[in-house]
Amino acid sequence: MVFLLLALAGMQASPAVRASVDTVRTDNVTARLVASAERVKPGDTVSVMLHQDIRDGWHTYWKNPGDSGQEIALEWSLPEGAVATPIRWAAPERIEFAGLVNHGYSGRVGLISDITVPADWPAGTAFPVKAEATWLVCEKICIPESGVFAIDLPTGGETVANSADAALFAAVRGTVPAASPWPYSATVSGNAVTLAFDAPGLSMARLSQAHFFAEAWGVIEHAAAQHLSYDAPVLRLTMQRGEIPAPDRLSGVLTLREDIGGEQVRLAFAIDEVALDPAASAPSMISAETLSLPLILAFAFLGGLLLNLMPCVFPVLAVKALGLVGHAADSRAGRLRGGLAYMAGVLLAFALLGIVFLALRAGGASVGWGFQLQNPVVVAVLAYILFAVGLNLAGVFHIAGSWTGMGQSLAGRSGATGSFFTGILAAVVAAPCTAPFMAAALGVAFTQSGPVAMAAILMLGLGLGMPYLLLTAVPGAARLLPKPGAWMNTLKQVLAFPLFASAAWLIWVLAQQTDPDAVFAVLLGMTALGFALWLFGQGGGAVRRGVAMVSVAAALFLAGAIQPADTAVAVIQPDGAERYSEARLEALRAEGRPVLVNMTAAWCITCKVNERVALSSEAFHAALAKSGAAYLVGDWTREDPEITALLRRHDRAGVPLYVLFYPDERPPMVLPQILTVSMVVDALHQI
Amino acid sequence: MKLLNRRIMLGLAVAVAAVFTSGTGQAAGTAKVDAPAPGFEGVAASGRTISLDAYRGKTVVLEWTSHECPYVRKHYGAGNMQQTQRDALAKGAVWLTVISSAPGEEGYVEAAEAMDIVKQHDANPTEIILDPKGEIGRMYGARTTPHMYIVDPDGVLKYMGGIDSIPSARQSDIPKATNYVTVALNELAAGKPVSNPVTRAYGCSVKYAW
Repeated sequence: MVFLLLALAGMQASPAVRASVDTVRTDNVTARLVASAERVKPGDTVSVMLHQDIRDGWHTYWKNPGDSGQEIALEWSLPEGAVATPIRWAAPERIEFAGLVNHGYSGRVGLISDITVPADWPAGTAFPVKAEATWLVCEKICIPESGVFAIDLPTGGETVANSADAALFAAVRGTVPAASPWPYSATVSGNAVTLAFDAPGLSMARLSQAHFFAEAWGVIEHAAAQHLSYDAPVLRLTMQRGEIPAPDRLSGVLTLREDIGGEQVRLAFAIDEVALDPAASAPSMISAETLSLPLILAFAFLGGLLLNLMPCVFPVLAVKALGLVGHAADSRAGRLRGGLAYMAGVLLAFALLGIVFLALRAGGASVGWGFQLQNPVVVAVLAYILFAVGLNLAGVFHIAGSWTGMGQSLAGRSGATGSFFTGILAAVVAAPCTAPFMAAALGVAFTQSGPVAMAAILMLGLGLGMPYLLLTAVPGAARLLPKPGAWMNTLKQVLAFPLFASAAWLIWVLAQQTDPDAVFAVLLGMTALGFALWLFGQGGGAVRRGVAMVSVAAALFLAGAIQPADTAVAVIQPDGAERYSEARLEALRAEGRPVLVNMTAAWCITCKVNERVALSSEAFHAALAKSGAAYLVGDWTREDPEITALLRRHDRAGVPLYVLFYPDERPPMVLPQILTVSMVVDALHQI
Repeated sequence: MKLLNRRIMLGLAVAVAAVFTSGTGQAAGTAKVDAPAPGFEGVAASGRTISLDAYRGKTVVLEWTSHECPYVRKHYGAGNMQQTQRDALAKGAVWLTVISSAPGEEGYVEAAEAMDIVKQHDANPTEIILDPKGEIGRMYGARTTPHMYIVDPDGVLKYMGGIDSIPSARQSDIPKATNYVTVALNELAAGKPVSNPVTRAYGCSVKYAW
């Protein structure tokens, strides 16, 4: 009715408006096309608005309608030479419906375009503006509606503002997002998109309901929660990535509520075409920004060196060094060939691992370092390998005895082939051990482009292979080794036991991934494998060899038949700890409780050591109780996307990870990879 | 000896390859392109129990629908969805129509009514899966009707998104639009990668149970 009156008033004020339709009423929307001037001078610009008055409880849609719905569309028909600028969209609202989130408008909304009347337009002749608008209006159900509008704008020597609608235009202009008062940047890291604003001097207590509306569909997950944090002077909004595989730009609208003198004011800022950098940006002690490419590579190399000392790798290297002792007299060239072959084996294994990792990542799987150990079949095969190498060292299948005299066995062989396979073996058994240095380097590298990730993985291999290569390459190095003798055989046999222990540990890992049946199957398989290798050791006829091969096949069959258990069987759950989930973490933080998160896995030795040394001490439990912090433990023994996501957010590719979330707005603290009691207790005291 | 050593090495090499090529399990949750399509079992309007795995070896098109939705009506009214379906079936694909509307919500139907609607539309889906609890819909992250997915014969999701490129409820837009499903099926049949594997699905929201 009001509009009708306004329309009548308009007609009286400008008799040139004839036979025009400026208002369309549908069941759910009263739509009107209105100009900001009642007379326009040719050459001047006039704003034209599509205004919608939407039925209570119903809504229409923004340019990115969100999970469903359809944006309001406006098609202009203008005289030749005239064009309309793109719509200046009002900031949308978040409309939730049954788990979906849409972006749109309720109540009233106005969408404005500017039209310039050509300078050569004959003054005095009405300028016809026609538009066809279509919109979808929804409550629970949706109805597509449309309207055809035509207004004739009188023209003349002077532009005269439409005073009747001036207030309406002013109000609608106030709903259009303003330029951001703070410089901003955006990053994409794993599953997270983060907008960062350089905004000094904010008071978080006065800000609420921050929400970013992405202009393009699929860049962010519309329905996912967005998290605002402030680490002066940087205001961060972290969102979940949407379906588009590789978004590179971000545009949209940030809306915030600010308490200004007790009144809630809604602010809307335009975010325009900011490049989405593929970098990690979550707050952490070692942040991606501080790790340049050379540093990533250097850390990866150091990490690889340290891997040589890990309990799973050390026996392999020691045996290799032992081989060198026995062949100290060999030609230097021969030794060097062995060293290079070993390095080649290591690098090839790491390269394969890198390729599989990158392929999985490209396929959208969230994987991290150690991912191969999340598969029980892999764990079983690895246990077989360690067991077999152990048996070899122990002398069970000293093939040399009964076959020709040339062979030591595989890992002990001095030839280049043997060295090559030892290199592969070293890389295979090294995988579960995430050494310090490596964690940060790989964590960052894995969130980067393929080439950087690959370079870091290869540097890791280079570090792992380097000690042995140096031993073979540096003149005189071999002479530093002790004289060969009977002790070598004894040492070799002794070294079998760490390998058996490693195999036992892998069975323990397997037990947590699967069920007693699978453990039994793999132990039977190991027995079959042991029997086969013993038969090989006996040497001799085709029958023996045939039985041995059948035995090996049986062992492989038993390992291959393992199924991961359907439900979590034995989730690692120390005293006083709760099982980690994103929802639980969010809930605890919402309650304002500090939270200590421990990400671990059965196959992670560093984790086990930390748990034994630091995280089961009385001092730790006392400090935990005193701080009031909740203790969440995430078990990554098997694939868990929620845990992988948290690791990613803290620039990690694997476990362990210890994060302390404060009850206030301080950024969470990441504790070191190797923990002492005092480190944890100190950290808890700082809450 | 040499032979034996070679055999052991081959065995080791195979084992190493096994270690490095075994991937991780499929992450639960929303469907992702180029990852295994989430497996499901559902009751069809025909009364049969349908499992996605049973169609391994065939291309499967999943269509989320709600017969009262104007966008669904646009495509069925113009015969476009039926034509897309005929093209798919002619290529040997399986077409599963999924209804995730909850009881009492727009688009909810019982088996008999679902069959009637299909007949009225002159459509010929392989099966109509009734998903009133929205379990399959949520597994795939289906948000709109229509929302289309294509699973290749290896069970890998190759396409998710809209039926075509012009989000509107107007039938007159259909001839101007690119039918993403038909294009993707043609590309898959030719052994080519899908050029638009993820597109915006448009339409009414799926009326899930709360």
